Amino acid sequence: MSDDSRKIRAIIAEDEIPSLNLLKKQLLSVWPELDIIGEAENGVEAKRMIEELKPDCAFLDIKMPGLSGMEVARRTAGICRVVFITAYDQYAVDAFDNEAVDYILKPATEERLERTVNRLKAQIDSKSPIGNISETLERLMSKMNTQQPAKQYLQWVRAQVGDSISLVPVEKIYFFQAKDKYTTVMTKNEEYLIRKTIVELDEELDPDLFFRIHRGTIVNARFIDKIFTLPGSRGQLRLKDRPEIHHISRSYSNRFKQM
Amino acid sequence: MDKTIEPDVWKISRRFLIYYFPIFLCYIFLNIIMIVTLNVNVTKLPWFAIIISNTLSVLTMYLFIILPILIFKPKKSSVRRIVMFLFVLLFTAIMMYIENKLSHIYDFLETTSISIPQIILADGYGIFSLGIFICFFYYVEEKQFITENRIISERNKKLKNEKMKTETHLKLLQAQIEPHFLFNTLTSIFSLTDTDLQKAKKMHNNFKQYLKTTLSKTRSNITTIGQEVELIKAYLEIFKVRMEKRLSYSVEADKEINNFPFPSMLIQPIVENAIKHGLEPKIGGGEIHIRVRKINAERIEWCIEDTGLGMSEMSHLGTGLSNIIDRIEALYGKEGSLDIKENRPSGVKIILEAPCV
Repeated sequence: MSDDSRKIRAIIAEDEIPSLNLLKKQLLSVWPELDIIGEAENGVEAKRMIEELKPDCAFLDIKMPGLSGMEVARRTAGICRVVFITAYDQYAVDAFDNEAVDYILKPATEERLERTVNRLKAQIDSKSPIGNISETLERLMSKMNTQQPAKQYLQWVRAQVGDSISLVPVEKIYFFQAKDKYTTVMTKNEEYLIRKTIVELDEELDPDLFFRIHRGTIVNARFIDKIFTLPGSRGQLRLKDRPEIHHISRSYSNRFKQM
Repeated sequence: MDKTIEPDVWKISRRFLIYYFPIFLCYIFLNIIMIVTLNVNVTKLPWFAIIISNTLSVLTMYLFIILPILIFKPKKSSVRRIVMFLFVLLFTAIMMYIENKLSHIYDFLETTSISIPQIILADGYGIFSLGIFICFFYYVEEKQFITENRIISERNKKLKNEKMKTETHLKLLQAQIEPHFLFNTLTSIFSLTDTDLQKAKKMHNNFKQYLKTTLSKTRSNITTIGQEVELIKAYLEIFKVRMEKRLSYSVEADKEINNFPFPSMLIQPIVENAIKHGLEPKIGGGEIHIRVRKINAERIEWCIEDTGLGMSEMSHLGTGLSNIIDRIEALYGKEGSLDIKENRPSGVKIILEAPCV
């Protein structure tokens, strides 16, 4: 057993073969006694390898197909020590520095690699317990995702055209209008029919971009050209480049009164 | 500077004739009916007198309209308002005057012998009132027409400016090479120098080609289809080295359209999008096929098909594509189109149609 513990077992997960080869070579040159027992090309494979082979440490690329390196680390937390590999990304690097998570910036320099390896070696030699980093990782991941809105809004509308399905980006859509069982989707020049109802769309679309103005109508706020509000009558609204006049029903008119 | 639209006499006259021609016809027709039904002895009436009188009527009306426009330029709105007011006053006064005189007109119509000056005079009253009436409406219409014209020209100017602005903005957006791509490629080249020098050289060349095109050509707006194809090939070749067997691709282009002018960096971002969001994050990787061909004498079609992850309705990853749609609209207006479709069994199929100028 004591003989075994001298040889440290590692896996490397990196989807780009040239990068993988380079890192392997560099690692072995600064740490000849390292035993690389597995090479994974995607996140799913990496996770399986860690679970099956139980290595002492894992070098995980952040950006991988299947599962990201961080996701792999979070799901296999406590099994082994983790060093992340990341390409140029100032945001990620700052985040790692703040949380004192080990990382290698690729392409790695030998000195930087040596420093990481020495720290890793010291940790493994001292047999200090593997800290549970899942909390740190969760914090990191949520921090890195702050650029994206927490709630995911509809970005594309799938519309059947002939026997193929067209994807219409929502920012190109002028308005949605209920029509029998279907909903009409109108872009500047094109009309599509979709099966989603106005109620469903109202829930899924970003409410800052799309205004429900009527039981059967949702308009893109970006394209509103004119709003007519005559005293004593219902409001009406016209969109840029489109001839239609849309009625604003009383229950949805609050939004326009603030304007 | 706000430049006033000078009244163009010729144009105003033409519009005047076009708009009021039916009214003139009606007027002449009524005139004749009136003379006939009033039991005037038509045989005694020379036809040329009727023609002269009617021509005079039309001319009078024409002068009524042209003169005020020529005297009062449309810019002086306060003056025009006063003129309009005076017209209305004058019109009322004259109508009252004619009411008074009407009996006299009928008087001499009932007599069988009418002299030509009498007819002209009788017409004159009618014409005068009708002319002023028409003039009033015409003036209002003319004013509207001029204002509308100004609004339209202003709007067109604004639209053109906006279009140019979007186009520049979008080009700038696309000209930014992603730092990730740059660093990853450099890493790959660096890694290959150790393991496979030949491959490293090839990748280095492709990267150079890519940089040359993206850095210089984004400034000049138009390149050729051939150049865009070369750029795409270089870009894909770089990814081929990085993704190895996970990526396979094909680029097909008709030889005859190689020299056609084409906006630079319009297709490359679509390919980039497909790789970045479709194929690179897919575990097994996939294929991408690009084809450009002439569909008829005036139009070309690009087809970019991948077998990647495809796009979910919630994925944010389409902003690159949305920029391209904007650019196509700024470049071609209604002439160009970009269709984004789901590919079977997976992935995205994008068809771009554009006129070949």
